[in-house]
Amino acid sequence: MKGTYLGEFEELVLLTVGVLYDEAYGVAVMDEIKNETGRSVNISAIHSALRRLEEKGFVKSKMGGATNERGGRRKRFFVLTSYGKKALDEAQSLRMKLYDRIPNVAFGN
Amino acid sequence: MKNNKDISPPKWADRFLKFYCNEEYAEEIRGDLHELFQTRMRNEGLGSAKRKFIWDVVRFFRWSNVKKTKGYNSNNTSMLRNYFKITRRNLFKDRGYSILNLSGLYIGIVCMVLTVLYLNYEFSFDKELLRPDDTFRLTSFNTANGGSGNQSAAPWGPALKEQFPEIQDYVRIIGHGASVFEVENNRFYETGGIIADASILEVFALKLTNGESTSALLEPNQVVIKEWLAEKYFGDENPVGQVIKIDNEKLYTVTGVLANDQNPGHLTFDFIASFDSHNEWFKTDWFIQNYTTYFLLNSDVDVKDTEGKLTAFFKARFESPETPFQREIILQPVPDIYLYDDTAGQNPQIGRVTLVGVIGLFILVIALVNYVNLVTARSAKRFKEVGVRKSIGAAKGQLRYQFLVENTIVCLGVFVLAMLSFRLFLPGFNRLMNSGLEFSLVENWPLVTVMLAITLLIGLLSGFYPAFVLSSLNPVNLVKNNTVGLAGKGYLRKSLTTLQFVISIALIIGTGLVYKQLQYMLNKDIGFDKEQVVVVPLGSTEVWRNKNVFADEIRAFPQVKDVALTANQMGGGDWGMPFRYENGDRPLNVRFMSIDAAYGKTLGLRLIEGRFFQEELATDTESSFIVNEAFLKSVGWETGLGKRIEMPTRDENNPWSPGRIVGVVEDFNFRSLHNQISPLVIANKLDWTSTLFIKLNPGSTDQVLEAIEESWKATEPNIPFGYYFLDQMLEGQYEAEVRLSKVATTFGSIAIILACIGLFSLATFSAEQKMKEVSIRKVMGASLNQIWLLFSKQFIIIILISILIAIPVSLYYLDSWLAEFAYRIQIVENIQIPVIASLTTVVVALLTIAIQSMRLAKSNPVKFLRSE
Repeated sequence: MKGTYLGEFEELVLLTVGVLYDEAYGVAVMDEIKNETGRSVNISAIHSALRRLEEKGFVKSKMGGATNERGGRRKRFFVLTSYGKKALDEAQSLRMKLYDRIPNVAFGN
Repeated sequence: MKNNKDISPPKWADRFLKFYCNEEYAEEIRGDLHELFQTRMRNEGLGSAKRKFIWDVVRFFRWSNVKKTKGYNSNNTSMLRNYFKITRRNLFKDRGYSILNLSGLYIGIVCMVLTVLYLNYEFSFDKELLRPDDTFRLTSFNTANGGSGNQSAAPWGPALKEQFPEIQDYVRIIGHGASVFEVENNRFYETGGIIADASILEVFALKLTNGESTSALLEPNQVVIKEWLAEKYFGDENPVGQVIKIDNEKLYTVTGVLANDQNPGHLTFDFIASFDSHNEWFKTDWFIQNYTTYFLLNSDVDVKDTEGKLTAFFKARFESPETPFQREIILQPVPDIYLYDDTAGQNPQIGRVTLVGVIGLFILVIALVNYVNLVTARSAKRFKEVGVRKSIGAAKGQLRYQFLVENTIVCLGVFVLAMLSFRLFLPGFNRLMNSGLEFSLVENWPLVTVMLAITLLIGLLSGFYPAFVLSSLNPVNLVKNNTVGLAGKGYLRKSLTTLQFVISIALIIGTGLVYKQLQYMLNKDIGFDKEQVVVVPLGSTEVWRNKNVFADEIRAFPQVKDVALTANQMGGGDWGMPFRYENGDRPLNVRFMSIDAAYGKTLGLRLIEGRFFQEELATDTESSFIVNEAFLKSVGWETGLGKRIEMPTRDENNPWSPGRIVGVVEDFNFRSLHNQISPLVIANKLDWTSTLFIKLNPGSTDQVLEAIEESWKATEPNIPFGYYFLDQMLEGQYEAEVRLSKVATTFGSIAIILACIGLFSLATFSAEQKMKEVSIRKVMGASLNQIWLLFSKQFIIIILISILIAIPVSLYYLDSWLAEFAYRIQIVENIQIPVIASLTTVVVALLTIAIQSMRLAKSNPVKFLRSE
């Protein structure tokens, strides 16, 4: 299995997948990221990140039903796995732990 | 209203996406892109949507999305893939042996590549003439003494063309001699010039890069120069039409420029002056043969027939009752001259070329033998693999196929490596061979194809033995027991190793004897003292006009011991002339020299009887001669003193000028030691002398040379001072032997290294096979010495057999090589060389197997017996 290290962008995508819950597919993830962070990301990057996350086991995917607006092509929906949830939790707690340990003086006052 | 077509994404981009995209992802990717396209069209407009669509398609074009050919999962290809895998694993399993083995093969292939390149170059001379098959050089064969010459007189060419319709054109060539070129203030000696008929450009297909080839050499004092000369004198200016002052007197007009890299030919030159640029007295003489004449015959002419006609023509012209015409005209094909020319006492180059080819082949054979030996030895370790393959149904054919594929892959890999890297060795090789080989994979692709074919053949040959032997063994035995006799006792491997050592020992013996002969030639007493002698050719300079004054001036220097004037430089500067002698019914052709009174003393010649010339005796210049011992022998005289001999003159009323012999000089080698000493007559004709021999006292030569140069400049300010040392020049005559000695040493070392690699691998293999036997013997109480002997015996036998074969074979060939030299070492007197070569080989071989024999002798028997 590839490394389970979670990159910054991957973490962002993983979070978005979690947020979107049932509606997480390529374009939706891209739009959500754009809306929330203002970062405009190329769709191909989203696809790559999603595929990597799936390989690492953080998300799983299934094909949806046929849609009209896409010329009948199906969407691939991603959902967070419990392993993915755990990875997010760990990342969060690690960050908080470190954040709490920053002495007050370090904030420059 | 826009039609429907326009609101869909660009078709080509969509199709491209479909083309490259992996089917697994195609649907979602295309779906997303189309969705985005629709959204963007609504929000941003059609143009922007299309642009972004195309950009996205480009961005999606990455490796993880690209369709991979899944391959056809047929049995054949997966087996082939398996062969690759097994090959790799086997190579990596025993890294040490693989490296040893492959580096041997690599050396062999690099040698092969270099040899092929060299041979290709040597065989490419004079192949690009106007009509190579119809171009000939006029040579003649002397039926009386078996000698042959390639010189002819100037009027012959035009006269023969006039007479014989078979001859379409002729080219006459004569050397231009060392000449001083002067352009503005640049003044240099240029030595590589020839004078030739204008037809040379057409007949020899010389390409002018600048200038008009049809008219370039028609008028007197026109010259065609090589590009580098043009650059040297004219820089960036257009050289055509410029004027060069030659030898401070003539003005040559440059009418053409020749490319630096002409197709290789036996003729080499830096510039060509038009034929009428020179006007020597012998230009109209029918007898003086100072030119080389080439003929272009009509295509349908019978050459033999023409030779007969030409012979008859010359016979009619030259024969007189006194001098029978004993020559046959031979038309020598020009494309053969470079390699096969044996006229004028030359050793044909083909001998040297063949030798390099043979040595190259030897090295390749040794490397191949190594490779085959190691592959077979190692394949014994693969009994189990073969056994298993057979048990699960591999047919013989498949196993053979496997081994052949394996070896071919390995050989091809090594070949590719050799191709990529042999350029590293090219400069060294060029220095060794004194060649200017260049190579580019692209330009020389036909050659690369040939070498690739050779490599494939090597791969197939080396795979042949394991392929056929292993595949035919019984699988049960193979799996059960490792030591089933692999093809008996390995006679093939042993005889191949013997072959390697035969070649190596022969090369070492060759190296030794060539070196001995070289030393012999360099150190032999040649009858005169060549040390500390500076030779100054005077040419047609002011110094030459005042040569006696100049000689006296130099003689006065304290560091100068003596100064002599001569017409003939050593090592081939002598002339040929017929002499009549007392009681002789026919003139004798002798070599001829003309010297002054100081010559004998300056060079330390030794007299047998009589005296040297004397300055005080005016009669000496008219009617005194000195002869050498060989002359006496050839005419059968006991003593020469006072005998009358007659020299030819150019006066038709009085064709012979008589004189007396005043001295007999001990034979000295006025030519290289390749030649016997010919009968020689020496005259005292001071008018003809044109070269200064200056004998120096030991000490600071540089100062003397500077002083001499000062005097030269005082007399002749316009032409630079040129000189050489006699001993260096004479050593230069043996350059071919020096080169041969270096080549033999280099290749001999490579051969012996390769042979040792082979021996080492054989010893390793043998040690593995003998482990059990040795273990049992040790248990029974065998001593270290006994085991060592047991193990080494087989190799010593191999070496002894090799020695027994190599010595007679190599001595036979070396004897025939030595036969080329008039002065040679005798093999019987140098019997230590084969002995030393053999001993060296034995020692090196024993050292090579020492590691393995020690391993065997010191091994713990338990380790090898436990498994039974």
